[in-house]
Amino acid sequence: MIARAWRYGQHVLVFAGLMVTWHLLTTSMNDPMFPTPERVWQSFTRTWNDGSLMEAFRDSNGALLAGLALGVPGGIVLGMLAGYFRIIDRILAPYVNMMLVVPMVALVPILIIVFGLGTSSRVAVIVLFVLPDVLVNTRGGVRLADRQLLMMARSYGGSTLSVFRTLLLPTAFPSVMTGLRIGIGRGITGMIVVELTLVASGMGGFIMEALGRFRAGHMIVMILLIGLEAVVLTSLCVLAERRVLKRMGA
Amino acid sequence: MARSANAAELGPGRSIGLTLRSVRHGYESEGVRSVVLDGLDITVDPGEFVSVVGPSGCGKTTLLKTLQGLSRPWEGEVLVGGQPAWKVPAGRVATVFQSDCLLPWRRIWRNVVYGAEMAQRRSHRAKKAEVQALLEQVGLGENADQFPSQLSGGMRQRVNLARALYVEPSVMLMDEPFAALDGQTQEVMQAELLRIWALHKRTVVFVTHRLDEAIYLSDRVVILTQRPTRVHSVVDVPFDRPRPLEIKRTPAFNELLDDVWARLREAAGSTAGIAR
Repeated sequence: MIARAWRYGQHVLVFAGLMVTWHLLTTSMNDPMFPTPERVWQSFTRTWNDGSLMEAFRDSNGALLAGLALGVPGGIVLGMLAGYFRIIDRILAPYVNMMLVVPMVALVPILIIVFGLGTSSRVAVIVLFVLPDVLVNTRGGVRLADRQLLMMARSYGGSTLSVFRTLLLPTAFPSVMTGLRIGIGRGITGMIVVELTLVASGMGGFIMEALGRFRAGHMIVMILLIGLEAVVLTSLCVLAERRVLKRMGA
Repeated sequence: MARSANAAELGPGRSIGLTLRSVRHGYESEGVRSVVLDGLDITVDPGEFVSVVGPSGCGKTTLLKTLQGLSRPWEGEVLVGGQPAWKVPAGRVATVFQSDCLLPWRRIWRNVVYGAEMAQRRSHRAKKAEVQALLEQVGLGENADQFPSQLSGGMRQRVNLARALYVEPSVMLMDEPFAALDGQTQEVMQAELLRIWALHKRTVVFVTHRLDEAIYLSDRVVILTQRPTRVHSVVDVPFDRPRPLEIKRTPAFNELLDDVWARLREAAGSTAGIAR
């Protein structure tokens, strides 16, 4: 009980220390571009009350959700196929390696040309950010499957589909969840990047607008919100993984 | 449908015989064909327990694969109940591997139904109650809800056996199922296997390196030669059933053991890799 309280206490202490440092620094600088914590809090209450904060949040996350809905299953399916069928792996490998190495940001202008300045290009960018990580992790997870178990399932006449469902998917599950966690993080990055650079809307657009009006407090509020969202989403992933693994008895 | 079978011949739960007629088979790598089985003739009667012994690397695994119908021989015939092995529907021939091959995330009873689930090519909505009787037969009545990691090696091998029995196969192929167990557990499992086998009377082909195991379990012992593999000889085991483990300590048993040992030495050309 005390150990538990101490674990939270550590966080509170570090956070309080950061706040005090921030406060002291910004007060001493007395520059409107480096707002004090109080000013940031004011920005928060103002944008919260006029609804602009949540509107930007909803707008961005609509695109994020759509992008995840396409990118995650796409990555899982391609990853499972690449993990199981050598030929698919060989064909996909160069593209996947390229996608992992080439900064996806470089593709954003091309996607805008193809999909226009609307929601669809934002969704496309998020898919491109999410898919490679989910794919690579899933593929690695499938590769972990025990050859002997596969042979056993085959010897009982298991079809490829049932082998996938009963053997490969459970084996790959922890890796899939890792891919999902990384993928969500990358998805949020993609979402903000496209809104900051080309399609000025949602949370990125909110930051750009605040920049244009020299509202540093607004910018910091949004950055903190993005950070908070990332932490919440990845923690949910970890929680979901633990629950499923516990049910599977691992 | 290529896999449809003669129902009368291959109905569930009926033992059927096996015939290998001058089977030639091997593997091909980089265009070079290597012969493993070089004209094998073996007949196993319905309900018979036959062990196969031979020098290391003599192609016992290749033999089992052709019996499973997983690979078709280059020449000759592999007949399961009068039908080519590759045409026999899934689940009629069940294999028990050396490794217990249990799915670690499934409870024991769900592991037992796994083979049936695969064989029927659909989700087998089995009830735990249906599995319970079989689990009790193999001495795992209390363990239905446990996970494989909670069981000992011998118990896990019993689950492996129960999984094969649950599909009600006509033929059981066993590939050194007890090789990974310690000596004491091996003996217990041999006796257990005979007890369970007597309840089901399936045709069994049992591959092993241990001659005493082969003799103790079987009606006949088939001795294979070094590669390219042929049948060296077949030895009848005259002991009555049920067989208590004590017969292993009788002079008659040891005489037979010496006989098989001598034949195997002749078949192998050397004694490498054979446990007495």
